[in-house]
Amino acid sequence: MDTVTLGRLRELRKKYGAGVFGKIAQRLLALSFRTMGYTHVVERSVEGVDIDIAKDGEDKFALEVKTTGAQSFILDEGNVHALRDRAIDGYLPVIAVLRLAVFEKWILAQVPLDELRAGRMLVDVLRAYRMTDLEAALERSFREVVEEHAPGALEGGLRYLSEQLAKDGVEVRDS
Amino acid sequence: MTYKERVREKIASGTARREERSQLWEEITKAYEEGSIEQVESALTAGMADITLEFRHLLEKLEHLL
Amino acid sequence: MFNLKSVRIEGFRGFSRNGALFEFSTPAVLLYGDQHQGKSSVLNALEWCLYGDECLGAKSGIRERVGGWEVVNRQASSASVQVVVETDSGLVTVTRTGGRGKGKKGRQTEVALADGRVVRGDEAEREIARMTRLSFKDFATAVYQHQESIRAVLVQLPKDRNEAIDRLLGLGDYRNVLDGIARAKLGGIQKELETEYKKFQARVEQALAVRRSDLEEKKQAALAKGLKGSQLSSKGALELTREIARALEAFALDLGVAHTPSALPSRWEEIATFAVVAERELDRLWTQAPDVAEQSQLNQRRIEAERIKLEYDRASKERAQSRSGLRAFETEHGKRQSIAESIVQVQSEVDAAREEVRSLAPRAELVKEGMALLRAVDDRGLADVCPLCGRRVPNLLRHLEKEWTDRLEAQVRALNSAVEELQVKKTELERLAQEHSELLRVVREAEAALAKGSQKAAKFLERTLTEADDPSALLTKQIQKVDARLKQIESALSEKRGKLGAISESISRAGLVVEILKLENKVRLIEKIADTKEYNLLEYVRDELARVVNDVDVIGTLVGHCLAEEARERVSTAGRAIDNHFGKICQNPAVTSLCIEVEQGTRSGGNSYSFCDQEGRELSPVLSLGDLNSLALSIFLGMVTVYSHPIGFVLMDDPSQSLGTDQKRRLVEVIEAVCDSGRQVVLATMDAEFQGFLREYLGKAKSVYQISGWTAESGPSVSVEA
Repeated sequence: MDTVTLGRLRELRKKYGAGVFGKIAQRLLALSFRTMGYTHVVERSVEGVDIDIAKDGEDKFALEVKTTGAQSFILDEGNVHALRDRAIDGYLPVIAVLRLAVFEKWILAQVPLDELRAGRMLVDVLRAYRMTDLEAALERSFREVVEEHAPGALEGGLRYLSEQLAKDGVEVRDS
Repeated sequence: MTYKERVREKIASGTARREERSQLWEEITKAYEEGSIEQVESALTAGMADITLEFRHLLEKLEHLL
Repeated sequence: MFNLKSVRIEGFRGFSRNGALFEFSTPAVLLYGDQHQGKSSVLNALEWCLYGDECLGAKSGIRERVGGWEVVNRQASSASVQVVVETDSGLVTVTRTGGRGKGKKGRQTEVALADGRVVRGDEAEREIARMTRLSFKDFATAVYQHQESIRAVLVQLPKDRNEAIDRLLGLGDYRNVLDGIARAKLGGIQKELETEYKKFQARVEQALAVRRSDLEEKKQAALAKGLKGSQLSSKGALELTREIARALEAFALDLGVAHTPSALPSRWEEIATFAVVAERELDRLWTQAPDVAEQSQLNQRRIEAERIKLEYDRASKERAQSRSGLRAFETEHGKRQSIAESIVQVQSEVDAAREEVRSLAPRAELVKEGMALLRAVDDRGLADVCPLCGRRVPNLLRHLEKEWTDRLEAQVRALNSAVEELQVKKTELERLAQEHSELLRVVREAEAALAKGSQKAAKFLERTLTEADDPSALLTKQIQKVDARLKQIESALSEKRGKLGAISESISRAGLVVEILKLENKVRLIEKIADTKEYNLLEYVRDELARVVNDVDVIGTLVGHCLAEEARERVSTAGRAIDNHFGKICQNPAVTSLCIEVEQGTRSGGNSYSFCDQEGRELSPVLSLGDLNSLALSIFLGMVTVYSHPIGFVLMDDPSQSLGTDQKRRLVEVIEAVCDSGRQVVLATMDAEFQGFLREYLGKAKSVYQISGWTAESGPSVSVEA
């Protein structure tokens, strides 16, 4: 992640706090996948995995989204459950983690179901499962999305991003 | 079934990195059978030594760019 | 199945060269004796004979065998154990010999088969393996109950007890592999390296922050110096250099000096060099400008004139002072000539006085001598006799003395005094003469200096000077003339100096823009670190690191799964037997049934065992040491029934460690049941009460060996009870 994008995200985190920032990051991520051509993108703020993505003729992925400023994050039982549930419908489980620091980018880790465990995990442990091609494409798309929407998000917060998601055809499940 | 075979089967029935993990398991059991616990420890840390060296070497190079 | 027939032990552990033979002709063989008498050595000998080095060191899984468990008795040079077993095919004799130290020297394994063949070395080892069909680890689980296995279950810490039970169940390999993986601490290494990476990230952010701050400062400084935002770029900097080049050319023309233009930079990186060259050219133009040169020369001339004038004026003053001094002296003391004349006069007076003294001298000498002579003979009464003619003259001596005192002495004294006075006067006059010479010399020197000063002034003024001229005044006039010209030049130069300052300032601004561009470049380079080859390689290494750590972690988890699975299987298979044995030995009224539950441990990967009663209540908090001992024995005896192998005997070492009296008695019954199942029991104990119960209640034929009286030279004394 370039320093400009990082700066914008830090600005958002500073204004809205870690909790809301996590949701903002999640919506920006959803918008990014939409920009990458994923026709089916579902973003959830409630029960279930955070984002589903699918593209015709390609694998479907269910993502648990985490943002952190530290070296680790927590994957709770609920997260693991949600991923397993989605797997039944053919969605491959992915943990998407963004650490807010220079040179970091979204790590998309496709963790095998039989290795999914709840608990505190080092972000770097996920590197064993990276989907590097998808990460590279996401990096470009995410940069553009942040550039476009960070000012609006800074002013309008989650409400602004909800509107953008709706405009882009992303299904948003808030309840 | 010996402990070796049992674990080997588990690895083979997993979904990811079967080959690499099977190979690693063979190395672990070979080290164990040759020299017990300490040998397992040595074999694993020896494997990390090169990675650690390369990691630090590259990090040092990047530091110079600052 | 094969049973033990006998074992002969020589030089092995507690047994010296003398050796001992034990026969195993009964279902139970009991080895009694106090501590350190060699009972356990008998059991170890059986073990070692069948398994050799496998039962030594860390590989054995027995803690006390790690770090130097001696095989060869200290009084012997080698150990030898011969075991005779009865197999389905007949008698087989296994003999193992071992020397001291590591290496194969002195080691031999020999198996005499039932068909009469004798095999040695590796083939012998293969025959033993074929016969036992059990690894050493399994042997230690299902055949040989070590003291350590009971002790380990008796410990309080659940973690240690769980490990002991894993090992009792024959799952030591899983545990050992998990230990090896845990010790490697690969996760810790990964964390350490990633922490180093995080620190690097922090330094990157700091480096960026510092440079951005410097950049902002320099940009502000540049704007304060009149630069515009559009000039703070590569294009802007190059345009500045072109302006500087033009200004230098115009300036050279203005000054009337030939200009040497330097090459214009084509990239901003070349501007620093251009600035140095431009600054030098500017200095050169200024120094060589005619007005500046003239100004410099005039300043030099003025300094020279002032110096010469100062010198002349000083010399003139010194001459006047010296002349005045001489005049004052001559006024007081007269001139040189008169002083000299006075000196001569005084000298002649001195001479006259001395002459007079000399004329008096002979008479005075004569009188003095006469007086001396007469005084010398006065004591002989000859003081009145004239030393010349010999005539007696009354009171001659007194008369001479009176003459001397009254006349001669006073005269001489007066004359000497006069001479002295004249000498003093002469000395004073000589001093005055010298002083006069000195004053004269000073005057002459002052006049010479003044003449020299005058010559210098004449040379400076480039004209001849006479006595009618005043060199000091002439020099003053010259200085005034130079001053007037300098004033004219300064007025002309002040405007040009302003232009010089302006060009210098432009060069400085160009330098500032270059610094800004350098900082921007550095910031860009740092931001682009993620695009470098080294960074991408580092990413690859980090991924590889994560994969290795993860693979080992997953394998550790799978080992844990298998450990738990197999523990459950064994517990399931042997569960009833364990429960039966426990019930029989322990007979805790509150526990009618024992069940063992196995959970895979989350932290260590090893299993966690919980023991419940018939109602599913956890028993560990209420089990006594005796109960735990019973539990350990029950697990061992339960495993004896699980394992299918041809070894027809069971070895037990001090099984009654923490049992109560009743429990000991009940253990005897259980042991009898084991014998009833067709297995031979070889049991070592120092417990006198338990020995008593075995004698009295074990309803199987038993051989009882007393092992006692151990000495270092001869080992234990072994006797068989009738």
